[in-house]
Amino acid sequence: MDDDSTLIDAAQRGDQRALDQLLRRHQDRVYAVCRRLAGNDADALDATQEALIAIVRGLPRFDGRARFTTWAYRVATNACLDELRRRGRRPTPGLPEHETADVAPFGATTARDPAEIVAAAIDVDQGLATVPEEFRIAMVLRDVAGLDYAEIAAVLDLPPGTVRSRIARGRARLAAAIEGTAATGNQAPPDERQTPRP
Amino acid sequence: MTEHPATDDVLSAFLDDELSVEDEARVREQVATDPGVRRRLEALRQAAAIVAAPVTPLPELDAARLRAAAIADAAALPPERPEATDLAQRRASRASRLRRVAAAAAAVAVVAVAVPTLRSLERGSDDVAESTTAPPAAAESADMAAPNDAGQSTATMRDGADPSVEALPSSAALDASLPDPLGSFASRNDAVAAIAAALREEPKSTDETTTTLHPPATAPAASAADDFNMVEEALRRERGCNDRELAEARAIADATLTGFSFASVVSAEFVDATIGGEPYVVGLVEDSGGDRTVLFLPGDGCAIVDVVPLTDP
Repeated sequence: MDDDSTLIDAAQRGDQRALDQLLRRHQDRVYAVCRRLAGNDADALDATQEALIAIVRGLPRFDGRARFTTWAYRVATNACLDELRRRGRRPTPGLPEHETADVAPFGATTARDPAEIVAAAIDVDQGLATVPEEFRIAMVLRDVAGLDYAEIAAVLDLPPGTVRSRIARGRARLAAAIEGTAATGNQAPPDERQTPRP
Repeated sequence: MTEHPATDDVLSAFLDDELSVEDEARVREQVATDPGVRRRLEALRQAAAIVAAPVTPLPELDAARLRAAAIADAAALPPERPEATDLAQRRASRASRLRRVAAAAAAVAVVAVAVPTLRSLERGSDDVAESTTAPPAAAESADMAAPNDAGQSTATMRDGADPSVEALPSSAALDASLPDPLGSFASRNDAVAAIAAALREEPKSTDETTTTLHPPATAPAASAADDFNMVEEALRRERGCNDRELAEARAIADATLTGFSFASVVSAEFVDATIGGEPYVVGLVEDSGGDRTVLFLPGDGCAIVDVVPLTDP
């Protein structure tokens, strides 16, 4: 099977089959990123469309100095965010897809019966909607796109330390939301580190 | 002296394997000895798990539509067009894309559809719908066909004609008239069979609904770049397709129907049909050699998403 570089070379020479194959390889992840950033299916679909268009339009200028995934996520993330901002949308949780993640209550580390798991199911979109966008973007690039801190720093044009801080603060905010204490805690400036509660 | 408990920042980085060896060892020790740190680490881990919860992937057809629209969008643009365009223009472009999302339906997937479709014809299979949701392996295989294999792919497609229609009468120009609407079918193969049956029953119809394309059969073959022009003209006239839609249809055809030439098409007829519950336009075209090909277009669009040869060359 062709690797990305082979497909990129062919696509840059105008081979639309190679371009389609390249998009096919990365489309699911791009959609997942946009889906988590958008908070609903409809906006995610439009945002993904814009992201793919941006990738296709920008591909002739991709020079291979960065990893394709890093470049593609930078383009896709910006396109996705631009699209969402153009639409004046903030994440709209849970419409129409109602994804949930089975997450045990904090402190619980052992398996529970299925009914309890269902009862504790967390609405992913609802939870993420409580997280400020700048944190959410970093979290999504880390936990959905699977980028490491250096790659996220490259995508967002931020120092790696800021990426690390934003991810931590986003997770803390989400954890607080899950606990139902989001309204009162975590109001510190974005780059101020959190100290764990005793 | 008691060491300060690790911060969220450190614990989060620990989860991501982004700490130095020394810091990681320090966190491990705290996690082992401090229940508070252990609880906090678990809270952050679960938050990360929530974000990482799998997103339901797009259905393949939607995914193919998005890719096709992206490719078509780029192909329709002048090469040096700036990436940041006027907002209104972008909105119009997006609206157009969304309107034609059905038009581009499976346009890229047709790479995976056309060959399996025709292969299924060859096998005598009657379920094209199965082909339209081709398994990844089939799609992969079709997608990986190199551009210079296009001729070979086309040959495969044309060799894949339904044996049951090989005895169809041939003529220099299409002189049959199809029922309009053609009917409702479970699959594209069913529609092809219905066309074959209609041609057998009315091989010499002179119904005026048949469209003779410009240029006429005796005109010189168009250049490769103009291959699509005659079909475009028919789409413009018969389906009301506008310039932008035709530009995208051309891009889609170029990308997905590689090797299939419309240059020698001398006549065509388009009728409505319902396939798998979806509206379609079915075209029957004939080339100067008398070979007939069935074209499939989503009912609300201008893009040809599948071609099925009706006779063996």
